[in-house]
Amino acid sequence: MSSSEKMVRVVVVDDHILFAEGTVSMLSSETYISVVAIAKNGSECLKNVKEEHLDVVLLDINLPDCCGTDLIEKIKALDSTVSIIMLTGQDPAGYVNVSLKKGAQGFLLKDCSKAEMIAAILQVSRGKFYFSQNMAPYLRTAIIGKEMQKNDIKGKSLTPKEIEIIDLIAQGLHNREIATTLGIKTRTVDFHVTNILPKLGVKSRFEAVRIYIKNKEVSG
Amino acid sequence: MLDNKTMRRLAFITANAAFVVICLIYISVLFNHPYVGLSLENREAAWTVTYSDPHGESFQLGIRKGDTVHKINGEDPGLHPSIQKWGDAEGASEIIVTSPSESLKVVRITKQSFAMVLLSALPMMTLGFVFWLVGLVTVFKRPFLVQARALFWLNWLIGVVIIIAPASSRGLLFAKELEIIGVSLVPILLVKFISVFVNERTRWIRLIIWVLGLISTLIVTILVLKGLGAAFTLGVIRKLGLGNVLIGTVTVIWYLAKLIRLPEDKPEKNQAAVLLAGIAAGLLPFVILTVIPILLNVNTVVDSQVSTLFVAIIPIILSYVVVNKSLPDGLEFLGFFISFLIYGLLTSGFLTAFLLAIGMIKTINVETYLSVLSLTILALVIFHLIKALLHHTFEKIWENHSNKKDEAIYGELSTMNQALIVEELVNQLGIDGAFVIAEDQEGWTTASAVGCYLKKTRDQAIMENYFQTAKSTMHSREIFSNDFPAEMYIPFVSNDFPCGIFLGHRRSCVRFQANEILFLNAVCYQLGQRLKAVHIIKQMSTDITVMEKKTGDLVRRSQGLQVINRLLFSNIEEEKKVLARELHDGSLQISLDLNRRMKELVAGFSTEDDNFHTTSMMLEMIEDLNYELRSICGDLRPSSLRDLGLIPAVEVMFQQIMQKELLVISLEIIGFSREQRFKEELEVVAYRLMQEGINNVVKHSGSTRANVSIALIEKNIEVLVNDYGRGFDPRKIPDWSLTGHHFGIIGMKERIESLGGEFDITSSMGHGVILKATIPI
Repeated sequence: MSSSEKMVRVVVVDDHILFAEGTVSMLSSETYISVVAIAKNGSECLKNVKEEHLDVVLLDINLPDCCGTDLIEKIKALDSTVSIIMLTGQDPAGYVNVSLKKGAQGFLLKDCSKAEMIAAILQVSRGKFYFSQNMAPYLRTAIIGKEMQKNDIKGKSLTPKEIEIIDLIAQGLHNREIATTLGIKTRTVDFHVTNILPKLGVKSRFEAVRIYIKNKEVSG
Repeated sequence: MLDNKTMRRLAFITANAAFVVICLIYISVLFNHPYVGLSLENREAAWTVTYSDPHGESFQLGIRKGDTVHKINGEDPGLHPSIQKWGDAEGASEIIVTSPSESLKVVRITKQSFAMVLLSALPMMTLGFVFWLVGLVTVFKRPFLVQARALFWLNWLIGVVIIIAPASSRGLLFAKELEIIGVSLVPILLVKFISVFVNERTRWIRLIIWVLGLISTLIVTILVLKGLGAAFTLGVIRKLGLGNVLIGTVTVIWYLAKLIRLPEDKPEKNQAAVLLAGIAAGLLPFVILTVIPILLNVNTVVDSQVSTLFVAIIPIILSYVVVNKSLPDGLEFLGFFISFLIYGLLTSGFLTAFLLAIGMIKTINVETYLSVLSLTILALVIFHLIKALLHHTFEKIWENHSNKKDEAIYGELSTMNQALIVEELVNQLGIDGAFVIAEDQEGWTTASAVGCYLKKTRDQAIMENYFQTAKSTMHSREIFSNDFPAEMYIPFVSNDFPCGIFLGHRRSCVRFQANEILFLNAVCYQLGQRLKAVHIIKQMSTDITVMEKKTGDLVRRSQGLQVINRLLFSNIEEEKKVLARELHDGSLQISLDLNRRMKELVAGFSTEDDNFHTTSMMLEMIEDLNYELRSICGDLRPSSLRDLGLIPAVEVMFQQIMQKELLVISLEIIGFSREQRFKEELEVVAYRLMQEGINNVVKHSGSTRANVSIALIEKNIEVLVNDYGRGFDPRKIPDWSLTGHHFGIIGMKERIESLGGEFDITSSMGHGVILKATIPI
């Protein structure tokens, strides 16, 4: 870090006190980040944006008085230089597109690590995009614009584990059954499946099976 | 020899012709011969006037009873042919007479004017004509009835006698002789008529006819002798003739009275009563006013012509009885008549005494009494006639008000009451009563007694027993003898509704005839059918009422269930919402924070550290926990539905399903944009519908393809979910609610309908399923 870098002023917008204060304490160890305020709802957030000179807004989707995604435009209207990182604890599917369309530059799942959060804030304050690691599955299955295709893995070959799994999928097993069969956790199987589908260039399980079988026939 | 029929016709035609001829002759004769009207008797060598007829010319010219006649037509009265023969001065044109008060005077009897003659003869002519005409009409109306013919002859004779009367009083052309003969013959024909009428020829009748005949012959002989010069006074002959009349009358009346005492079931009884009443009414005036005075040698009260006019009643009544089959109650008339007579006699007696007491009359004699009697009776009759007329007029007016059309048969189904139906029958048939027993399938009997059977419980019991016994045997129509209460029994044979119909009563005057039996059969058949129909209708009516009540109960219950249904669903949805929020705001938040801190902790350990493994494992577990919590929240109630709208939420849902299941779903949006929002209830129900629909496709259809379309059409959202799987039998759909299968889909129907929408499931075996919902926005 160069000394020319100024302090990044951040406001945390979340009505869950536990998480908000936890976030603040995590960010306090970083010298170049300064958490200016905690806003508990949309109107407090806008007030802060107006009054304080902010760089980054950590915006929870789930706010008591409105939805986080609705706030993005309002914040931008007040101060177009502010960068917005969306936060959510739940399944972000569907929200990613909307947020990005409206002008958000980052998306974090609330259980991401401290390092990721700090990295996200610093990247976004420099005008780049950042998505936490655990966002990967949700990014691929969403309709993403060209710039977002960070983790384009189409065409990459399947790992052996993935081949095992797609075999079982082709036999009609569900993820839980596959997990039992392979002795791994269901969550792991789900994770693998979310990698298999884009590698095969498809969005549905059914098409994946079809292509895999076709490839198998072709190849052997 | 000509046969009876032609002989009869010949006699008939001859009689009619003769009548006309007689009429003409004996009336034309009148014009030239004025009616003198004097009766003379030779007392102490002087011819005294014993009677001066007020109708006669002599009376009008001043000759009275007690005057002495000196010369008739210039001769001694004793030489006058009419005096010699009959003791009257007919044919006299000039009479010299002295009266006690006046001196000698000459009376010239001139021919009267045409008009005068006609006028004076008119009453008798009319009467005679009436008799003859009535007889003729009777024969025309009932040409084959022997009674009609007898009546005709009787009337003919009487008519002739009456026509001749004026001529006879003038002593012309043997009229007097003919009249006397005729008068004596009348009773014979009368008695003959009665005997023919009641169809009985007992010895008595024949004996009497004999006697009458004898007297007539006697009279004829006397007349012949007189014509040859023997001396018999008119008085004797007259008395003989009238005696005949009296015998005849008494016989007839006695015979009729005997008939009246017959039991009620004989029609002759009524006929006799009517006849008797008629004859009595006709003859009574004549008897009172003419016969009794003559027999008692007293002056007649009224001119005999007037009293004879009353006699015209008789032929009319006779004809009526002969012509008509059904007669009014004769006994009633007779009762009237007798009461009249008694009232008259008593009242006039009192009246006479009263008048004597106040001095209006000087002495009591038969004449005065008879005149008072006749006046009293006349007054009574007029009074009662006026009363009857008024009564009749009132009834007619009343009838017009209430009963407009008598001729139409009213066909409204007026009643379901068995007794009233039978009563209608009784009224229409004109019988006295009927008794109907009906038995239904369970063995309950209903009996209806109508008319004269109403209070006769004993008769009803007898008939009921008969019905019960007859029912088990093959019973049939019966006409009973006189000891059974009813006249006729007609069974209505049916397996489930047998009836026994008893008609008529043994003591009624109305009887059934042989040619009416078929008709009665038909009527009773219809009656039985109607009673059966009424019975069935009543049963059905009861059944319908019970069913209506049950249906009402069911409808109420069903409505109650619907309400509970809706409440349950909205309850569930609400609970899901609350649970999801609680999980998200509570458990998930804690878990996320925990996750974060755990990551920090793990990052602080080096990989060789034992703590590293422990905490790494813990971190794994926490991440699993988060994962599950997130997925539970999403399943319960996806927040994207609330935040982003129906379509984004549905897209997310479909993407997740496509990852987990071997199913490709295509989503089509028509008529609105992806970001459009609707009211919360609608979005939730539509979302759940598609969720449920696709879940069903996954679970049941075996299809690998599904199409979903959401369209905004004219203020309605139309959602279509269809697949290409195995489908199901749509006839099984109603069973789903009974067995609880496919509860989710059935529940959807309720939820959609509670928003005012419609929901349909279409399917056929092997051709997939189409779910269609239309919800107003």
